[in-house]
Amino acid sequence: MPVGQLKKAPRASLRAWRRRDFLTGLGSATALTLAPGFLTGCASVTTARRSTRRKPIAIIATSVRKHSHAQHFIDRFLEGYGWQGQWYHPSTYLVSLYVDQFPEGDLAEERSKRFNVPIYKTIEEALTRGGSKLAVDGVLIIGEHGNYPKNEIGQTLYPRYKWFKQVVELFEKNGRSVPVFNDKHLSTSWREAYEMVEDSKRLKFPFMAGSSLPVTWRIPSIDIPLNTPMVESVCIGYGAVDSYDFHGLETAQCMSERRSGGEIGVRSVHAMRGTGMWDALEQQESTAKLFLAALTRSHTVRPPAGFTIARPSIAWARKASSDAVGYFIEHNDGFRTSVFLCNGLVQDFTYAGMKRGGEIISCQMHLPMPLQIATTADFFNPLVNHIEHMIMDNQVPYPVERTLLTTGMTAFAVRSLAEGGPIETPGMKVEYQPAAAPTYWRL
Amino acid sequence: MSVRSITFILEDFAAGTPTQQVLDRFIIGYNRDGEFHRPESQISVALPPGFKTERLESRMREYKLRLAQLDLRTVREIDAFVFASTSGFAFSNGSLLEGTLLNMRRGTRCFILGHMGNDQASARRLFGVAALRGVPLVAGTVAATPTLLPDTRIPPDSHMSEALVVTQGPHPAAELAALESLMPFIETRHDSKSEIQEVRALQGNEVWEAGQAGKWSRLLLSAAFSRSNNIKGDPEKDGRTQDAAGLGLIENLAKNPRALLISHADGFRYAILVLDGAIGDTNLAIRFPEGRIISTQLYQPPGPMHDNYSRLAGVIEDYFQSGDLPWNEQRSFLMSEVLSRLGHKIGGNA
Repeated sequence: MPVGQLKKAPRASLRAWRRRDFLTGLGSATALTLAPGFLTGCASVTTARRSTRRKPIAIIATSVRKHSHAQHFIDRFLEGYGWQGQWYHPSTYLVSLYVDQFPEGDLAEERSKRFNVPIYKTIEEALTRGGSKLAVDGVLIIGEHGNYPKNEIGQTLYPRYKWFKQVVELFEKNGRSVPVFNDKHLSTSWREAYEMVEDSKRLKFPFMAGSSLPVTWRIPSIDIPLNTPMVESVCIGYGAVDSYDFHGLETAQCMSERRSGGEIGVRSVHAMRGTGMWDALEQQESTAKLFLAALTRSHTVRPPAGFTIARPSIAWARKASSDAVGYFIEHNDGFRTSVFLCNGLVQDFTYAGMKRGGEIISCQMHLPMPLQIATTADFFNPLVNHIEHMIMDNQVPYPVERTLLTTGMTAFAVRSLAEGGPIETPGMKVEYQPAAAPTYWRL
Repeated sequence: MSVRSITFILEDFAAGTPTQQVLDRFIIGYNRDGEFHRPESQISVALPPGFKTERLESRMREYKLRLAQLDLRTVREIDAFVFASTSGFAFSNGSLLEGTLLNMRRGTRCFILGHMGNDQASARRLFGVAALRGVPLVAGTVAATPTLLPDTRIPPDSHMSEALVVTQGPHPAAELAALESLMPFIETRHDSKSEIQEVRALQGNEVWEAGQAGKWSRLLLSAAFSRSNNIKGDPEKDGRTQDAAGLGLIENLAKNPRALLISHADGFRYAILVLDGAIGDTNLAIRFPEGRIISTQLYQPPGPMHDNYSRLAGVIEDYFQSGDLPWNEQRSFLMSEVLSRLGHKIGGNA
């Protein structure tokens, strides 16, 4: 947020702050540098930025309400967020918004007025800031939440692909491209998602997408060492199909991709629900073992009435979540991924992976979820931080192919669930290598 | 010595209490290092007179929980005891606790789920009785085993200048829990034997005035707040992120703040700030002499599992099996002393 964008001075007096305290603390700012003018009009005094360079960005969003994804992103770019032990303001600054819907409880207007960020009527105007040329250095497409129709298999038709194509068209018209972030899965259609990634390669702009699950805290704080000989991944989560299933798939994929040889694509997806799913799980010994291992990382397993803890068992899981959904995915190298949405059993996301030889690695991808244990959805902090790095450095922190694959897994799983039976996915021959360095929230 | 039998001495068995959390983990099992682990010891409970056993019947039926009588022969046969305080403070029936301790055979492990005493003198006496009998004795609550976000380790013998924990909750439980959570970080610091020079409890404007006077560090408060996921006020209303510390909003949010300020003879000091209305979780910051600050959230997972009880159960079980105290008696004495100074006596073993 540029200093000059504040319409009024901070509400509180700064006199209570001890300058000695403050200056001493600067030494702890590690690699961060303080923004110019931070003592005289910035939103806070304990603030830091990673660079004095500034880059303007635009956010195009479906709907901005309390706890909508757009609210989480917009506020972090405007207000800052807690990061590595201090308050942090991104070096990018939000200069324009496009918002598609203004439902009751809209917050876009309030944020626009308070921070003097205009809401434009079209995506093109937002990206050109009302002019004729591309006038931002980064674009975020937040096509999540809002009132959009569903198709015949239950997918919500958010306009992510449509908006992405408008952005690409503008890039082409201007002969200049800038980094783009797409929140959650790329599209409801594999073909569209593939085209989006192809566009980014053709125009050579950094393209990042996906969920906050791969980058949030992990309990315990572990990563799969690169090139580990893994044979199978399991994630247990909760929530709705074509929504939280994607988070579960991203949870599993950010670990699976680190296996020996990296990712080489997916050959089939089979989604099942209820009794059939539980029966299938019980017949797969290693998957069932990983399911129970993942459950031991959950903080929310519903215990039997009158007890505080449940012994993990498929029998109890089946009883607590009789209508659970399971996605069984086979990769081209024989690796297997299974994701379970177990509403009624858990309210968190946990992972377990098996190494060749049977050793299990497991953790929880921790979400401090608003309305449960938090007021702010701070698992967006690391995601916003990665987006800022991508825009500032013109480089993606992790390959978009991860989200291309999880988009396909989600889309084919929803179709498999609707139509019954497995779906062969010969088109999902997506090969990529993961980022070498850990990208999850550790500090 | 292998601990084959453990008896929980209960004051009550209400749903969701620390007693239930820990007992359930010993009879059913608990999450430990990615596996579900069930202690192998035989678990029994000794109940106060008039206690209705129906609350425990399903556990007796399904998990082979047994009833124990606290006669001399049984006390001498049991390998380990958990005295489970209902109040969360000291074990109420002090004479039962002392009497049982006096009759235990040498080497029997003993854990008080709560605090060792309502004041330092009673805690020291109890510890003395245990020492006389050759019985290792330690007290603690789930506050001692938080999940840390980020996972933060401080090397032993580190020099430290100052620490601060910001939390919320009722008096004096919030202060005590925050203090107990802080202890693992500071009790292995360089010169940790340095005596406590002053303990001050403040309330209302005194808290802010003490901050203005440099009695606690606003910079540490800011660092601790930056770790919070639960800042009240505007974030609660519309989900926004907000630098409540940097914007100076905390004073308006916390209408009736409380503080506990403790300073040591070597200059090390720490503050517990209880800021109801400003924050909904517990966060810690520590400053080192060179100015470096570390901070972390002391995360307590939600109920009904409250999974940090799994961590506590692991600590208790390891202690029972090894005989090695998980923390030293000085922590128990300090907690009891602070409990006494906060002027809230419940039950008592004095």
